[in-house]
Amino acid sequence: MLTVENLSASYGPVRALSEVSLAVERSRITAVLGANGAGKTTLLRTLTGLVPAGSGKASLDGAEFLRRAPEEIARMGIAHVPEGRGVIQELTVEENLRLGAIWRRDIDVQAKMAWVYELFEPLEPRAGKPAFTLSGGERQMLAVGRALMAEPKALLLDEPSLGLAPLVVASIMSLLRRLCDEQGLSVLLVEQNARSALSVADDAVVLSLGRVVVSDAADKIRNDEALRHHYLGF
Amino acid sequence: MEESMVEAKPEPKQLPAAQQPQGPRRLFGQPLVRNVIVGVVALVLFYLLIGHLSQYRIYQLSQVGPYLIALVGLSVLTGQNGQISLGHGALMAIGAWTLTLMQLHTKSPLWLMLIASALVTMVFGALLGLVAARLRGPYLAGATLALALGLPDITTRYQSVFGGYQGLEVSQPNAPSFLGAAATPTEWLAIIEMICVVVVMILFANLLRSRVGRKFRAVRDDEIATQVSGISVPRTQVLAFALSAAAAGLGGGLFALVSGNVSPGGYTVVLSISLLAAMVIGGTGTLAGAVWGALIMVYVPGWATTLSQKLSLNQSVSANLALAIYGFLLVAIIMVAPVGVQGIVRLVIFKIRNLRKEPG
Repeated sequence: MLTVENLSASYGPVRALSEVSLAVERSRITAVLGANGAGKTTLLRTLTGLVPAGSGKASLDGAEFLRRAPEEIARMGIAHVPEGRGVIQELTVEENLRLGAIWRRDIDVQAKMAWVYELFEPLEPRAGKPAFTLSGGERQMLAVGRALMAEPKALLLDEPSLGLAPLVVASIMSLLRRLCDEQGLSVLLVEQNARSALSVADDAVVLSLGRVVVSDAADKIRNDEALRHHYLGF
Repeated sequence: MEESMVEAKPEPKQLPAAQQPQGPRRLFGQPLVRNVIVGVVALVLFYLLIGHLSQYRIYQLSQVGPYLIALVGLSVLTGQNGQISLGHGALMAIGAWTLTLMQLHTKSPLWLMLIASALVTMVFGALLGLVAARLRGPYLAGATLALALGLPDITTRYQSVFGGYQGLEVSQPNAPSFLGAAATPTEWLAIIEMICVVVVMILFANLLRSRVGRKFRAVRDDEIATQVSGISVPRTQVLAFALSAAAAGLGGGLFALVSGNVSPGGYTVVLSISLLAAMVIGGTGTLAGAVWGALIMVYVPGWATTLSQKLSLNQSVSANLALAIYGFLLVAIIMVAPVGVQGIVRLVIFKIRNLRKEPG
């Protein structure tokens, strides 16, 4: 279980997150919604150590991980799929996947890769091709596949729908749901596209100017018209 | 290990035989065997070749080795790991003085002195890497430039140790008796160099195929994606700098042997910049590119001089003209081959292969 308590972060004098709290249990997806500049990406980057955390706490299954180095946090079982795909362009698809598990010497990389290729079928025929030859959707698949290679406990996704066709988004979302249930992952899903995120999420948190303004079950937020109009624009 | 995975995935998809891992292939797999065979063949051919060359030609050829080894290090650092260094001339100097001082004050065998030049420089490279890991792009270039500018002055500041402007003499090793009386010190040095070149090339070729090589490239391409994959970016950068410096140090040690002396004038910032230029012209990031770069560094200035002398101009004009021709050639190569000589070679090989594939 992923727990965040009163997390704050700043870029110099500018406050980007103010006392954000949330919890994601195993096999559950929490969507993080909000307008541009609400602090969604900052939340993920602070959790994975890419942005220095101010005050607050964050733990995974009881183990504190805030304020550690990014690679240490990754090694604790928190996989981050950064905004804009987060694949290494010049490496091949296979090398990218191997990279995801590079610090784990206790898993069978070959079998794990075969499993990822089964999840994301378009990747397999492209195993030997450099990642920059992939389409946007395939890159997103590769980024998620890379994150899954090390058998994480928590998966943090930053706008996986960015720039993808609705059909591709739908298939990625439903795959996410399946993965979350089968692997017992705690998923934190940051999305601009509130409608598709709410379609798979169990819970949702709405951020505005770095604060949590709403935190509720996903279907409640989906059905609350006033809230949707005010914060989510649909 | 395999059994634990079978639970997670009941029916592992069979990969084609060529992709199946062959035991502990990380270090002792087929690519290594292939590289060693190519290396040994190259060594034998080289030995046969120097039997047909004049002493002067062999001396000229033996200037290629030190540059080549230093260029391999620089090219891996810049092309594979994305860190620029304007200080590799200074790192060569550290290797050169290490070998010279050992020769002067100890009775170490040659192989030990060469290894020591690599290791001592590696330590300096790791320290430099610690600084480099905090700097990017132009700031890193600036910091390494400071090393290239500052280090030669240390040798003149502490004259009693490093010999000042005059530098120190380096004696060339005599050939061992099993090569027969025919082998001159020049020939022996060329053979030593070729052995060093082959060993360094094999080590780096395998390093780049290993997980370390993958880490280097990952750091170069996307630091954030690398970090969130559980890889320490600074540690990888320090490692790259240390290994690159070790190559530069070995190159420097050999350079001292070939030159017969070390003096600050041989390791100015010009050397660092020449190395950088040769790396780009040869083809950044490739081992074969380092070979082209080193050949160009040694032979093109000579050709330029010969060319300008043929024009029978007066001495000062022809000396400057040689530099101008050299500069012109470098610009021309860059314009014809923006990805370096090795880029052109690859393109030609690719085209030939495609021609063969086309039906009759």
